Amino acid sequence: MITGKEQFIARVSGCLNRTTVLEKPTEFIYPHDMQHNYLAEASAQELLDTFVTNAQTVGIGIHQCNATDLGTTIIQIVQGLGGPVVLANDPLLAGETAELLGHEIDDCHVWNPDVGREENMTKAEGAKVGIAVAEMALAESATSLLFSYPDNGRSVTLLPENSLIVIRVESIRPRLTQAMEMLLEQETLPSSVNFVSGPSSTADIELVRVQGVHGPLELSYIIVG
Amino acid sequence: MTIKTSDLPLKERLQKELGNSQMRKAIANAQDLLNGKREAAFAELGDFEQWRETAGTIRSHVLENLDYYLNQFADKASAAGAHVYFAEDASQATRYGLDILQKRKAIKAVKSKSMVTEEIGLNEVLEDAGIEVIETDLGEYLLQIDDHDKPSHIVVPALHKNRDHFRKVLAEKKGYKGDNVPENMTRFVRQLIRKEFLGADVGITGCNFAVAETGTVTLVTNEGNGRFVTTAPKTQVVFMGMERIVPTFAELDIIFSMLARSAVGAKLTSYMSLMTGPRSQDEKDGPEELHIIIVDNGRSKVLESEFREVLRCIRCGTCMLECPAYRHISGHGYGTLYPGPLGLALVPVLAGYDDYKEITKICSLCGACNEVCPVKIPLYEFIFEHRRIIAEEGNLTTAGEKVVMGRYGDVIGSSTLYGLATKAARFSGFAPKVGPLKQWSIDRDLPDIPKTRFRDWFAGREKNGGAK
Repeated sequence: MITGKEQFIARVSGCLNRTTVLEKPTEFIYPHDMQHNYLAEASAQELLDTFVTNAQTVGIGIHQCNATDLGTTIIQIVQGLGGPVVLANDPLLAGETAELLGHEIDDCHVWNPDVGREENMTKAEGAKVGIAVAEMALAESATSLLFSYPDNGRSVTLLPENSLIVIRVESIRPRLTQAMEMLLEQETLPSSVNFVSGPSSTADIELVRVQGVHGPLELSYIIVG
Repeated sequence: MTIKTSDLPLKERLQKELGNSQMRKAIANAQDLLNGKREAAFAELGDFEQWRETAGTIRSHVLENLDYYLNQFADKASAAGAHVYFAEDASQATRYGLDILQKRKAIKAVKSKSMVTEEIGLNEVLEDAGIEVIETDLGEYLLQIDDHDKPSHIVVPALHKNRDHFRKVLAEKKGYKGDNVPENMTRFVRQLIRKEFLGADVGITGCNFAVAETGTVTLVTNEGNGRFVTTAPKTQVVFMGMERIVPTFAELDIIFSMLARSAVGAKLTSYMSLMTGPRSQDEKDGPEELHIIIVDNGRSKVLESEFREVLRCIRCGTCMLECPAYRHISGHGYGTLYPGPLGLALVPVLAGYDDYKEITKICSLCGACNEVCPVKIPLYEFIFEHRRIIAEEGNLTTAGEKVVMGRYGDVIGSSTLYGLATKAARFSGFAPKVGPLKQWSIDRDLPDIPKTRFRDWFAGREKNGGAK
């Protein structure tokens, strides 16, 4: 539903010295194309190395493993941090990995669209660790891209104290430019896309950096492949 | 709060701020630290001029086609399931916002930092109606519990207060028993606000930029409060200034690349959330309904004026961090919600000369802001143009002043002439004894032209804002 559009936009058109909205916007030509230069020729190894270095600089923990070892790697990390755990219902995490986790961790909740909002959110709020899988990762800013969808609630990587995000090594791209191009190609966008580039932090008191304000206190990536 | 944040006359306000040595030290430290981080971040990015020219061109293109993009954005956001409301002024915007909350019988709202909601005085309207509004940005929260103290910077709002002060406030207002270590105080507030997030009926946010092609709204935070406000409450209300729009995600790339570097010297903030419509039917968290209120509140006046390009602003706060006047008087010295060079360029046209002609005198026209603005707003030319208009409209004191300002404008408007004039004045001597300059100096002294030019001095300026 839209309210008050015609009158409002007519006034804006008037401010731009026209009586109606143009059929299409005036032509826009980018004066430069510098955003495509960054790591344009980089190999997969260079992208990975840059991603890892930049992640470590901002205090993101890094783990690396093969696809077959993902389950055991997660269990090792979770055993160090303690449960309970909440998981996105992602193919990478479901099946054997979830089963393995279920055996090893007392309280392991897989985000479940078939149960209510309260139950899912309460589980996430009570969890020590939240685990999700990134759609894409960005080398320049050590960013992971998370889509919300019925099997992956926004709460999974927000409410628990520790956030573990699984990154497929082949999904690491140079920078924000490539992520935005990927979003441009989406036929339908998820209701929420989150770019995570570090642990929750603030510098609001005397500009002293404090890690862990409202979101997770710690952020780690598990790079798979 | 509204655009006006102080009723003190300019001189008294400036005296008060200049006398606050603790604040001046804090602001000077902040400027030095954040400017250093920003410079390093842009040095790493490379081609700063190309980046800001591209960013400025994008913003300028949007303003030139604002009717088209607003129309497109509203249609797309609505198609994605959002309710879009166009508000001409502050009272329409706040009345509609209040109506949404009252219809849902909301008693508590959590809010992530938003300048436009401050501008329209939203909190006051909601609180008068008995709705509790909780600011969730740490700095804003601390100011809110500190008897609603006002922000002194648009990105780091509590820059003017120190850790001892906040320890005392937290102890008095919230029963905090810990020390003054920022990390401990932050943890304490985390626990307090977490309960509020989970118990709030409505989440209120601003919008850093909206994407016209997809109807997407975006929020940029480091603390994660923006994600919380858009995850836990069942209703989300977004307020956005009508100019805060980009055509597509491609342009969002450029603008966000500039925003985080300019504001805090980071490549990106910890969180950027891009939200298109409310949560889908099968999703379990996120808002069930999404309302977007698009606010004019004087912006169309700016759009049709010669100052249109000031609406390019991405609210990064860089011009304030670079400004030597801001360094000494902080955001509070301006008495306006939008301080610093941006405030001086924007507020007189957004809110009118009647209340805001005095503040344009704060600027020394050094031009430092122009050099760093990531969207290339000609800030000091605009500030000077305000002064010229004020002078020509007879609002300055004497005819002589108008003449002087007119000539001064010819010189200062041209950087070559200005450079020559200030260089020349240092050995030629410059004393107004006759004519219009004499009249101008009856009630004030024309300052001696200093031995060192300001532009040169500023490059090697002192630390600590000169505070003892």
